[in-house]
Amino acid sequence: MKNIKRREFIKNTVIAGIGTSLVSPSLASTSLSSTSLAATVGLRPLKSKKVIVAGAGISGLCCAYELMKKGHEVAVLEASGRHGGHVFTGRDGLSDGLYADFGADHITKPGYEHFFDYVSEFNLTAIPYPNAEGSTAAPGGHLLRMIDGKFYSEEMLADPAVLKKIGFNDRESGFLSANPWHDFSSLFLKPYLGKFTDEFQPFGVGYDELDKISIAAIYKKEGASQTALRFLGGQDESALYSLWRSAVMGFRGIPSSEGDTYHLQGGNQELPTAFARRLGERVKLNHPILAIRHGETGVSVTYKAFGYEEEKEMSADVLVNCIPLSLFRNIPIAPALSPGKQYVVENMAYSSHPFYVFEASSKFWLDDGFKSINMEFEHPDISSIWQASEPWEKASEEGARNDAPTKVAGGSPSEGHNGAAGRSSNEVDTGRIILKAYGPGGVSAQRGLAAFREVYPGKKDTIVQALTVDWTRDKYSPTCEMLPFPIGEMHKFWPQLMKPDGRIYFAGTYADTLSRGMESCLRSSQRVAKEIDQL
Amino acid sequence: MVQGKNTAEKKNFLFIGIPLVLVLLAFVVQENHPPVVKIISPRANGTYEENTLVRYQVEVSDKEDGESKFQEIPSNEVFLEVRYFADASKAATASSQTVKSDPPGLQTIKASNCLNCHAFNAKLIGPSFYDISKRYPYSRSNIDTLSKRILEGTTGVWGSIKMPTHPELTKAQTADIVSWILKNAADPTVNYYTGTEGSFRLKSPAASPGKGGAFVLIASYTDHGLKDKPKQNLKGQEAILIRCQ
Repeated sequence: MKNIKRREFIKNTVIAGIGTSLVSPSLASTSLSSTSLAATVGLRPLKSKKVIVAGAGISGLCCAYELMKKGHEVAVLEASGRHGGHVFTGRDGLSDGLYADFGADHITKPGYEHFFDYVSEFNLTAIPYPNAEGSTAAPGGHLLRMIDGKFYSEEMLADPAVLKKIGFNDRESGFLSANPWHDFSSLFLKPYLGKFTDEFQPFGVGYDELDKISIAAIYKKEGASQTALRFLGGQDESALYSLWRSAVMGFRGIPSSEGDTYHLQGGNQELPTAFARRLGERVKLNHPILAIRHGETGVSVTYKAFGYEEEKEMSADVLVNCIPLSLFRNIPIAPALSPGKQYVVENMAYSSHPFYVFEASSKFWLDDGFKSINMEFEHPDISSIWQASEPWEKASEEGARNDAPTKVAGGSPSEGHNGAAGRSSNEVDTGRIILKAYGPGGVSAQRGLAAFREVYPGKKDTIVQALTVDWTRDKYSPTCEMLPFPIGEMHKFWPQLMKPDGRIYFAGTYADTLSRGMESCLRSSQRVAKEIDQL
Repeated sequence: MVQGKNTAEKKNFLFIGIPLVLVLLAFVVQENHPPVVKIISPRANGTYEENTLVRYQVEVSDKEDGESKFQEIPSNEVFLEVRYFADASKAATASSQTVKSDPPGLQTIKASNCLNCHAFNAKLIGPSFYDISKRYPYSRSNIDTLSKRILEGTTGVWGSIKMPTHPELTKAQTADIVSWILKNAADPTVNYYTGTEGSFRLKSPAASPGKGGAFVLIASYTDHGLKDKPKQNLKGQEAILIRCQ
């Protein structure tokens, strides 16, 4: 009983951040943890478990942080020389202190509730980033969309006659002229979504058979035209998965626009960095895991420490795998995982793509008579471009400088604002602008820029720098989000992907009821930390 | 005087001419050194259980390019071929073979960015070469179709992920690539891996269960040649044999 009380006490002091009254100021710094506190004042939490976390991406760091807060001993083994993984903010090559997120691009409201909790906890700042990754949630985006080689403005695409000419049928043209394009799939899917009542139960609602057909087949069945099918895609995506995903989005109040978009001041990497600071030396960089052995009561890993050739061993009560499964599957595990888990590990598919980051010295598109640079293209090397930062002067003119940075703490969705263009800024004192563009993996930034120059409908641009991180070449974080389950395979993945295999637990963007960017990393990590705490 | 002049000329030749010739000769015969490739693990002639993941580590040392242990060798340019032989004596012969240059299609695959997204026998970002060869059997028209896709890029053929364009390749090169993939990727006895370290599953083809058979591992690296003679590149390799229980 005494120990339990002590454990609770440790947990609470760390959570509340009042440990300073008990220990020296240096211990109360960012590296303060329950275990360092415990060591200092001679306390050990009851049932403290030793946990090895594999991978120091946002999932691994979050999981380790939560376990540490609960009084467990953690070691995060990261194969690469930096933490943060696919959440990467770059500054090299950009002028005036500008930065850009080369990996995870944005956070949304609603939809990132766990993320925003940490924004508050760590006193970070979220700033509006309207039109992020082509989002049309913010009004006034003035998107130009290329269709069959011709550019269309939003106004043009609100005209049923124009829509019919593109090839949409009467019903579709009527819908699209009155609703935003991001709502288009709801025209066909809305009647299906009411059957789901529990986000953990995609099966047994009467749609099990829909795993055997594609979502494109549902669109077709519901009368979608060939043109609509071309825009909606989904030929290789399980219909059941797609419907379930839409239903879970609905449960969580996430609109089909994906919500208002933000990024962290200083870049999204500020969050993994905040976790890592608090974890301190528990995060072991350049410590690749080479092999895993596991049993009923514990695990041991073979790893290498940076700078040493000899292989080392580390034992623990539990291992949490936060390495993308596409890499984890290359680590020998003995005894082998259960066949069901092995299937998930070997077959989980991920997307991977780069962002091109362009630095422009002015808003050149205004000189060409375009209201915004939000454009979609049909070029194979570039499919869209948007503005990722406002020049400081612009933000200042509009009064944002005085009250900036715009703090957006956790809370109800209504607290967020739409962030009309001009209110957004990277809070960097520069007249230069960051543009971001979307393209396939394996393409250099210079080639991406050449593609942009081929399709940009204006006369000239003032882009002076083009950068990218080609994640497909990255040895440690090559992947982004999981891909939808292929047709007929959903039962092989769900709910297996959430389950532990003996003493090996799994967290990551895929290991949640809704795989959706960094939020699902955090949700799955918190879930696993809780499960381990209750072991 | 005349003789004196001759002596002076001879001396000049000795002191200036010979070193000059030597320098020039050294310049002309300056040669690229072949890379030294070593398989650190698994150990040669080791025995491993069927259907387990075997870790491998390869070390490369090249006078011009550098050392893999200092990360001076691009890891994705180091290759491991794992080939199964039902007849162990044939495996022994294969493991002692001399360095052979790669066929043109494989050479281009290795030099281009194909292997960032495609593995030979596992789905990465894109489909595996094996899956491609299953969907598109070897034929002139499939070679043409796929060559065009490599050159121009694609969307929606294997899901929503885009395949980039490859304007740096010629039609002949893409035809070589496709032809090599369609001919070789469906071969269940061989698999290829990239990187100085990784793992492979020791799995003999279903038709010939592992007992008695052997796997030949060939690790290789083709260097970048000398700066002024980039085409004089050389390949180094090491081959070992392992068995499965």
